[in-house]
Amino acid sequence: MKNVLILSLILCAVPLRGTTTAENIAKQFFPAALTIIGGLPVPPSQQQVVFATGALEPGGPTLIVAGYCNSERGSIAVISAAGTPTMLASVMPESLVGRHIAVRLLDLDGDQRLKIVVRVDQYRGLPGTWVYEWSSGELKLLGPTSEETPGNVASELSDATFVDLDGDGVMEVIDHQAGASYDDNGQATVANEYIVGHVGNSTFAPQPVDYFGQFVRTKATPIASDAHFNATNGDHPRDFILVNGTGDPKTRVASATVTLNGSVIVHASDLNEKIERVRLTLPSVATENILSVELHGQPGASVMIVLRPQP
Amino acid sequence: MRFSQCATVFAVVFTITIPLLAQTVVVFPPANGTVPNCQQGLVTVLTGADNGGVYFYYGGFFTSNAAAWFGAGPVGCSNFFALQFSPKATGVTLGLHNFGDATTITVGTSTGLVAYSLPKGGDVMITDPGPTLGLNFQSQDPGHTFAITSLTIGHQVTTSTLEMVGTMETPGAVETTYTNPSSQTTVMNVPLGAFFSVGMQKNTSPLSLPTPITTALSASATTVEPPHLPLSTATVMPKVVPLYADRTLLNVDDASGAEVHHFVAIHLGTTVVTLLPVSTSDPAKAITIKVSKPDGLGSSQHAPWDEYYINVAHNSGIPPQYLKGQGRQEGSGSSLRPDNWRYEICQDYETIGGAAGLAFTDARFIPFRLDDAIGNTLHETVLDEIDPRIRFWIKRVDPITGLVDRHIDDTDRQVTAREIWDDNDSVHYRQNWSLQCSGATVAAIHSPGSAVLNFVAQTPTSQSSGIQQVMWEEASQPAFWDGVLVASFTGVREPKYVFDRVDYINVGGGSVQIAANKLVGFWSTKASTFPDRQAYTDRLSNMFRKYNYYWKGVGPDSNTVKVRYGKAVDEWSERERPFSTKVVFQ
Repeated sequence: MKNVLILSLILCAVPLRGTTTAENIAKQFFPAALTIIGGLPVPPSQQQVVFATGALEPGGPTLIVAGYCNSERGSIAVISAAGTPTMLASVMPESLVGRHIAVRLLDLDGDQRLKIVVRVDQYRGLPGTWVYEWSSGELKLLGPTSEETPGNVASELSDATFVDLDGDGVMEVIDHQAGASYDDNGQATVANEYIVGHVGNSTFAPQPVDYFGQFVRTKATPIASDAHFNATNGDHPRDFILVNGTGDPKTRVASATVTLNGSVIVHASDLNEKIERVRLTLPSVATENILSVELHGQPGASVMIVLRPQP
Repeated sequence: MRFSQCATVFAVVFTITIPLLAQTVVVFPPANGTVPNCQQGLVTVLTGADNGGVYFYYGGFFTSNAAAWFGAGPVGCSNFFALQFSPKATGVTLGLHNFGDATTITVGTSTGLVAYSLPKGGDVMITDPGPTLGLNFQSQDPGHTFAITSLTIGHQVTTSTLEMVGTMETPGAVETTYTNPSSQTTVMNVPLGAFFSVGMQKNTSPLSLPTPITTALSASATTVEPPHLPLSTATVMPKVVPLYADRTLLNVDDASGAEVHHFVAIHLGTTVVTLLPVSTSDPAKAITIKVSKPDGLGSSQHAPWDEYYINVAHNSGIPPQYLKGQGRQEGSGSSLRPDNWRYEICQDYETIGGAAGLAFTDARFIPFRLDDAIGNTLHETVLDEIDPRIRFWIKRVDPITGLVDRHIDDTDRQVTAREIWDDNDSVHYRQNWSLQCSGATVAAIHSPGSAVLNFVAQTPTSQSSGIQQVMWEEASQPAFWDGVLVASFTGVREPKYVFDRVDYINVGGGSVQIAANKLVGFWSTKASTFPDRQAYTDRLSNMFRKYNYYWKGVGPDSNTVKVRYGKAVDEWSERERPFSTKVVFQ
């Protein structure tokens, strides 16, 4: 039910006085400081304005959270549409760079306080993820963060996925970071890692993840999809977690068969649309592993699978 | 009283050569031993005349007949000991005594070697009017006991000289120090990109360290050279977005008064700096700091890259070693290749070739959309137009031989992103896109029966190309690039001209100036003075990180600790330091 609650909050982020109105209000506040090179204003045709609306705190007013981008860097604003639209707060962090911006509101902690999750797509490489908390009329950036130059506080989350792995109502963040290097023949070696932790104010103590992947049921005849991953300290027990769907029960699969290195660990009968997650303890994994997943159910349904060393 | 018989003679000599009132007695330290216990090297330093130093070497102090001595003997000694004076001494006198059997003792003075044959218990007074750097004493017999006492010195003042002192980093060396007499210095030559320092010092003696002088710094009369063509063969100046266009130097220390002043050279040209001593009454000194092109960068891959990077660095105000370092970071096997190219398949799916992508909606992309553009703006067999994709493999049915797994050809049509992904992600060309793309994108691509990549791969516009790996979406922005001159047409923008072939650079193309223009937009401060070098290089590193912000991988200095892109560029830059054979001080 926790995932259901989360999704309902997202869906409750309905437009204020209609999408067009909220969009127009958001556009009014395109920041003048967000210029193009040379300090010139961004031509309207190049102004990216995205928004989400919702009550950021229980009982609070519905607000517009706007994201702005000039194809190089971005800005976030919280706007009140009550009466004369007013910008309550805005931030334009120096390192909020990227070619495209998106915002959404998520209840990460199950406390009905919506966090502002900002995604900035990059010209190259993985996107960045910035998470803000609306607190006392201010936008507060949540960790993990860095400060490479004075005052330049930036999120270190990259390709982040938020999912409640253990069913406690608090979403974990699984972050994917990668960097490729190329050999003389142009072939890529990728330093690739996943970590899991909780977004927080000051502490972020991530744990390593052996494997994280999303599998989507398509219209095609169900067949197994294989994923390859390597693991170290394979003799150490692993948590295997399968999260069914993305919150809405309609996104859950009807069944799934999961094998690890040829051995079935999730049988088709272990899962149906009413089961939110499957957790198993695996006594060990191999150094090189093949995870095979076959899904049944409505097209568009999906599962997320996490394999990580037990603490 | 061993010297009683000689005392009168000494007095006579003394009064003749050196005024009595000017003499300073060097007090030997009290010693418990009655024979010298020698030390190798420097034994001690005592205060001489005019607060100068007297350095005692190789011997040992001892007490005999209530007098203090310094000399050599059988315990741990050679047959040698020495004195040195800093600054040089004048009017030196001392008593030499032979404690052992008759022997000959040779004394080195400022006028040469003098041999004294002394009987057992024999004494002699030694005088050296100087100026002298020191005296040394050697017995012909090893283990022989002989010593000096009653050392007096007239003066230890020499004429001091002012020097300019500078330090500069060079490839393979942390820092090299250069000095030159202030009176002979009008110019300091530094190569573009160099981190260097300049200061003043007073040199009073070759035996003592120079004394640094605290100076206040002021800069004036800066002349920055106009932008340079990227290559000497070039005829078209590309668009240039400069940082600090009116400065040749940035201060990388914040000391208004300091013994040395640290800079980085960011543009070619000259700046006159004046150093005003504040810790002494020495006169101010103005010198011209001339920033010139380095002879090269680092230790490899010089031509034509160094000239190219140096010119763009001057145009942009970004140290050349950082630009070249970025090229090394982006290279395959860290090699700088004019046709460096990658197909960014995830960007193609997310924004360019996929449904309603830029290839169908954006005027910068539509003219180069495959396959429609073939025969118009993209041509078979023409270098760098369609052919970059031929490095990829596809599986196609040949009417005669059946399914063939082969390289793509210029004549192939309807080559989809799916075909390229399936045959080059983990096989053949092994691009490992599935590890680099976002989880949502990979999930969509890997789903059974997924059709999301069933579009014609837009390899000409979903590419990062050139040695700096510029995306077409960036290069096509007028803010970064004016295009090239082709057949009297200016402003021609085609993806191929982002490659770094000399022919393209010559007419306004190439990736380096475009990338530099983009980087300048990421520079985050208007300050021209930084608290220290680290504060400046942190800014540089962060500026480069914004080029590829979320990259986290292996840098050149480590295979285990993953670093961010900016740090990796910073590490490469250390290997690409500028060097020059120009004389530093002129």
